[in-house]
Amino acid sequence: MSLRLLRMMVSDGLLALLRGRGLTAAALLIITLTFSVSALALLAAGNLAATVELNGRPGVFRVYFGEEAPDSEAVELARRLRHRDGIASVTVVRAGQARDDFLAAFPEMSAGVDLLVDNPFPPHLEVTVADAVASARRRELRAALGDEEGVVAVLGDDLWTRRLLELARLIRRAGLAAGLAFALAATLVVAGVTRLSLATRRDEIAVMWVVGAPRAFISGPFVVEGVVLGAGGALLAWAASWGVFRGASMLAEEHPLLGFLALAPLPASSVLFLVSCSVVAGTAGALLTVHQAARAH
Amino acid sequence: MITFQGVTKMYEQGVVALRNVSFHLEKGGFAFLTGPSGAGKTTVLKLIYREERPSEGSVEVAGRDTCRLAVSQVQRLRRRMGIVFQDGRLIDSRDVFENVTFVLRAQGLALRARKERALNVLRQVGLSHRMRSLPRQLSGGEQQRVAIARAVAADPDLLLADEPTGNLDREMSVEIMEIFRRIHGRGTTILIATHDPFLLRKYRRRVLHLEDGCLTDKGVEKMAAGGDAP
Ligand SMILES: Nc1ncnc2c1ncn2[C@@H]1O[C@H](COP(=O)(O)OP(=O)(O)OP(=O)(O)O)[C@@H](O)[C@H]1O
Ligand SMILES: [Mg+2]
Repeated sequence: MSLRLLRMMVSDGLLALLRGRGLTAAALLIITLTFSVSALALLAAGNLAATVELNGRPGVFRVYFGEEAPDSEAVELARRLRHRDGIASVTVVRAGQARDDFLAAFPEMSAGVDLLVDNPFPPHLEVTVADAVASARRRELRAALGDEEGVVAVLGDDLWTRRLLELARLIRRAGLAAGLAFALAATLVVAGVTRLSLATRRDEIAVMWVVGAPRAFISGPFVVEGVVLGAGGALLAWAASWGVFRGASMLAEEHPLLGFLALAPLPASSVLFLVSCSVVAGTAGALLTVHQAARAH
Repeated sequence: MITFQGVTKMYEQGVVALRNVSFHLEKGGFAFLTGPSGAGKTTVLKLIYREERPSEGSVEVAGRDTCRLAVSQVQRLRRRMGIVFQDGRLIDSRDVFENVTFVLRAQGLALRARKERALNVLRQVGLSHRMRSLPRQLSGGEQQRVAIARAVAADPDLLLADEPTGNLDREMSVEIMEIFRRIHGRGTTILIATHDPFLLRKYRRRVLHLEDGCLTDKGVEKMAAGGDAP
């Protein structure tokens, strides 16, 4: 397909959308609304997970080292961290001590623990963050801790934390499923729009057909219409989620009580997911209808 | 260029429009298709550009059996033809310029070249000043001239014209025939369906005469001699 033909299809498709403004707006609205549900679910899930991870045990991160790590490595990092901005205190929990702590809490497990050859209680640090540190800075701090040499995990773990994370995953899955379901709905909407568009241009298409216009020239603009409607809807839904994110961020800045929130916009992967769903839906909706119409010729 | 072999065309309601029609029009030929209303002239043309298929027999265009062509091949074949439809078939929502040039556009001709071409053919039919008019803003004869301009704009290998001068006065008819003659001179094969005895008299060309769906010799001399057209 030549570039010129593609350009022609795009300009014809856009022109047709412009001519049918009312219909275009209605279709866009429906697609946007449906995809917004999915976008907001993904946004909520992401932010819930981030917030939970950040606040799992308020102000305390546990920094774990590898199984083979000597205590000295933990002590050395603790020494360096104590001088760092935003850190209130650092406690070193040595390998042996971690084991003792565990046994003190669960004495009935002692037999089991004695059987273990490898030490399941590697040394770790308990890093307490200063209260004044804002949530964004906490996240940075956490990431920085994870990047330190010898560190294998940074946790702020609790049972409710895990449950909330599970909930966040559930919401995320629901958001993805909704995205797929709404893609189907968008397919039908676009198919309907294409059908109307075809009907209003039926005479024109019949003439083009009979004087030999290539199929791509005739049906291309309809596919462009479908893609634009689909992608437009998804991008508007993204914009809506961005608006919600901005609103929440502003609210969190104004109210210190909301400082615990770890807020982030929709990640690129989610945006990509929504846009691909909608583009596929738009293309499929248009092609389906155009194909039916072409068979009638 | 065109070969009909034993072509019979029966429409859905059982109307037999053509009966066992055979003829050959060579490449670069020029022929009139005549006959009374309902004799099957338009049907012959429709079979050539494959809007209809023969019920029996075969239609060959440019060496290919039109029934054996895939959709894309039919479209390609049609693009090599210029067709003037009996009912005009202009696109009502597009202006004269677009009507004349959209096939050129589909063929990838740039806007500049299309403008040049449109101006050229519209000048020949005396409508270069109406490029931006919509079909409904034109008279019947003017619309017909736009349809003719569209048919010749792409320099077709084959020109099919169905009553191209039906709405035109003698003077304009002669001018249109001059256009056809000119492109015939450049090698285009031409087949014109017409009632107009004046054209047959003035331009002594081969005549394919249809009566009630059959190709006959009867009446040809009469029509060519200027007798009453049926
Ligand atoms: N789509 C159709 N369905 C049924 N019958 C048709 C159809 N098209 C044409 N016919 C019939 O076929 C016969 C030939 O029609 P055709 O249009 O070929 O005639 P024509 O010679 O072009 O006539 P005219 O000079 O009036 O244009 C007519 O009897 C017509 O009624
Ligand atoms: Mg006719």
